Amino acid sequence: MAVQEAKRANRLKSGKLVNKLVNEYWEDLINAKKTGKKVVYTTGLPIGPFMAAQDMAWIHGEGYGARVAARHEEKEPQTFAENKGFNRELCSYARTQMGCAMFAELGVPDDLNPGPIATEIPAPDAIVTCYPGCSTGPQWDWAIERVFGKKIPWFNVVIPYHMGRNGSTYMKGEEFEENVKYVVRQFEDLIKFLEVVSGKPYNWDKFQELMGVTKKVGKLRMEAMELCKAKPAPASFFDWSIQIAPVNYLTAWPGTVEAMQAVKDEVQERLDNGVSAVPNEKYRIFWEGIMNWNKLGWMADKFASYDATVVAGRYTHMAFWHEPDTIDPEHPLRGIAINHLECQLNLGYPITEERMMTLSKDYSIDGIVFHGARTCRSFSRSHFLLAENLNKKMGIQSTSFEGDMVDDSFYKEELVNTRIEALIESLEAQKSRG
Amino acid sequence: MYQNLSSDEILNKLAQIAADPYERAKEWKMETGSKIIGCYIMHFPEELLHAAGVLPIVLQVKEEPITTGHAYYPAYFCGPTRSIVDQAAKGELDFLDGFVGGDYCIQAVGGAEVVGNLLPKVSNMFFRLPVGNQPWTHGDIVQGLEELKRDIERFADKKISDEDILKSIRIYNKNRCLIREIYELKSVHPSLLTSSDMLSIIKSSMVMPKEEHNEILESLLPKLQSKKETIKEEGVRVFLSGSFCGAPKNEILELVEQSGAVVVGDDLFHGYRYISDNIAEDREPLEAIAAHYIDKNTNVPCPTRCDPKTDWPQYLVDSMRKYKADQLVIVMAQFCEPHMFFYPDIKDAMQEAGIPHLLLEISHELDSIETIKTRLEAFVEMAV
Ligand code: SF4
Ligand code: SF4
Repeated sequence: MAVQEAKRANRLKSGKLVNKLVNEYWEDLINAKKTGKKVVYTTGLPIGPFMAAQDMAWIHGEGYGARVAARHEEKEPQTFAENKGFNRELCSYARTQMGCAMFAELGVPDDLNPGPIATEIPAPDAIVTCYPGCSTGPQWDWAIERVFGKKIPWFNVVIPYHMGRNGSTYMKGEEFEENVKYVVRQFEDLIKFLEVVSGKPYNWDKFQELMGVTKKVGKLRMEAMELCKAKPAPASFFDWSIQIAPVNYLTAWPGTVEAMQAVKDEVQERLDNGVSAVPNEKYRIFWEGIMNWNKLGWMADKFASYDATVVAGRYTHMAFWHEPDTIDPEHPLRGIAINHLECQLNLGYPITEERMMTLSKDYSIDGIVFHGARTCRSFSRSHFLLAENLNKKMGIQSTSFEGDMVDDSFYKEELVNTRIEALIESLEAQKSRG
Repeated sequence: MYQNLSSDEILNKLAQIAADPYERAKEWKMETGSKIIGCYIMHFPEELLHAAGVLPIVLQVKEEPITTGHAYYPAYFCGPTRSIVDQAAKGELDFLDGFVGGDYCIQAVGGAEVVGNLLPKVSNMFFRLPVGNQPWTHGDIVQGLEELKRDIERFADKKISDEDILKSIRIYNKNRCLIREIYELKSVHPSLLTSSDMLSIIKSSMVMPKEEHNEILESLLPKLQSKKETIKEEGVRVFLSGSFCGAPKNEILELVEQSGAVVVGDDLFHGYRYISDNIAEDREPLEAIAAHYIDKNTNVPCPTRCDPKTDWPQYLVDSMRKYKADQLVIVMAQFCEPHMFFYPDIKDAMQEAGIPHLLLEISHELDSIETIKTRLEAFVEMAV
């Protein structure tokens, strides 16, 4: 029987540097209009450098939702959105941002008292969508476009789903090559669009420089994560979730190289000194699904108390500049397209399964936790198949529970406890059978 | 063969086909030895598949509760996608030779992934239909059609000529014209056909050879024309909206009418949305099909198409006026994200236009049928 002692996850300390950058970014965004910057709303994968090159500010819808939740300010915008008719089954990131957008456009109703982050974000001058593997993304941006009276120019980069037709696999094949070309062409049009919005010719030099930074940060992160193939793992999936901003909405932000270098150095140092993310690692777990941001700290300690390290995850390991070598800073569009096309949500099922099997081998995974984020159906769409097939093909056991990204009303703590406990028990039984 | 039947007999026949939606296709396969392709519900160029000599059918939601499928797709996905997964899991789709999934909605993408896994012997194809309406969208849709054409040609082992596609377009256009004529009749004489009758007409069209369906409709139309004189009109005029991939259940349609309403128009996918517009016959065929995707969305806007030049709420307000409808009943499949994103705008537009509306969020299992009944009755009562 698994015994749960109160042990705590040994989280990376260098994460503090990232916090500093995050704070700078939000400060800059809040003051964007005052400093004469245009503000672009974006969703989907990180396209900040496209705007940064033109000295424009950008806000990333999901990053925003997560930030609002991290500040415990999510309830008011979510309530406002619900009162306006947005069903609580809609993507909670979208609902949260919609609520904030409506605060900005319609004003704050008397009966709500939202926090500063939810109300201080400027209205958009343009909207750019770049959503892989989820139709909700563009639909959400369209809803924002309507909230602001259909006056905001909107550019939608259509990222085609990489199904794996006619033998195309991860980063290979006719379908893949066609898709890359298609996305590159749209990026060229996006650049023309941004020239119009910003009113000046595109600053390619700056863009290339920023993509050089992106490549460096992406590489550092992938290398740092790969150090965690070691047993015991020096850092966990929860650390990588906390450190996501520098490769997400903070992509190419000043200071990200140093921050990620510090993270990598700390992981290396831990490895050299035999320090692990979980004091007494017995089990290695894969987290499948988007993060439950409200529960991150609780989850990290929960697994630690079962001597289980959540070593890797689809969210962290299969997206966010996970293929940095494909980026040529001199000619960056192809590399950006590849990273976006081949990210976790955009891959057809057989490719996803193949990638997960590879990661499971590389990280010596014993079990998988499927976090079925209730309002992120893009992520949970393949959970049942993955659970069945990874068990069949690799003997990996799993458990699942429902939760959400930023709406904790979908989360049932008791059930989560029981499910995690049951997984650990079966892993324990499997280990004792040898 | 249908000439000698009365309109009611013909409608019964169509209702039978619709109730057991894959039977006619299976018979056709036996008769012809040809292949059947299932389309994972909305937005597929059936004409292009038809041109390859195969029978494209639109996969249908079944009324029965989901059982085996629970193991493959979470319960918080929409009923239409779960129902098709369930059918695949139960072996009910084994008669298919191929199926085509599409990217119009992530829940449909995921459903098709599961079906692909459950039916490994069935050829698994995909139609990429870029959203939006930018200067390059038309060309991008043509490219998506060319990719599908290439895959269908491999599947059917047949080159598809422009002439083949044009021939199919003509057959499908004819079907749409005939159904639109029935719609026109019904909008003027709403009691001529129940909304379940309309549903049978559309649903049967989706699952049987169009040539045969055209013949049936050609027999039905004159009979309806002559019957219309004897119809007494009564009831609150209701416009029915929503219900994307899955047809609204007959039980719901019956409740609307039992509450004292007559349905004068709709924008259902299993309704006017399916036949609202023809494909041009005087253009290069793939270009014409691509243009059709943009144009029909201007006619009857679809929230999955992300075209900011369209205005679904305004379309609804205009339709209410056009059909002199008193009330709007919105049927929303539970968990249907594209629809949920639009409801607040529709609500505002209706309030602004002074049009009463009722939102019915319907679960696949119809677990709140009594509440739905009470709400519908109270709503229709308001207009009496
Ligand atoms: S449902 Fe998930 S993938 Fe889709 S927009 Fe929301 S968070 Fe993104
Ligand atoms: S459009 Fe709605 S009904 Fe259709 S697959 Fe998507 S969620 Fe389901």
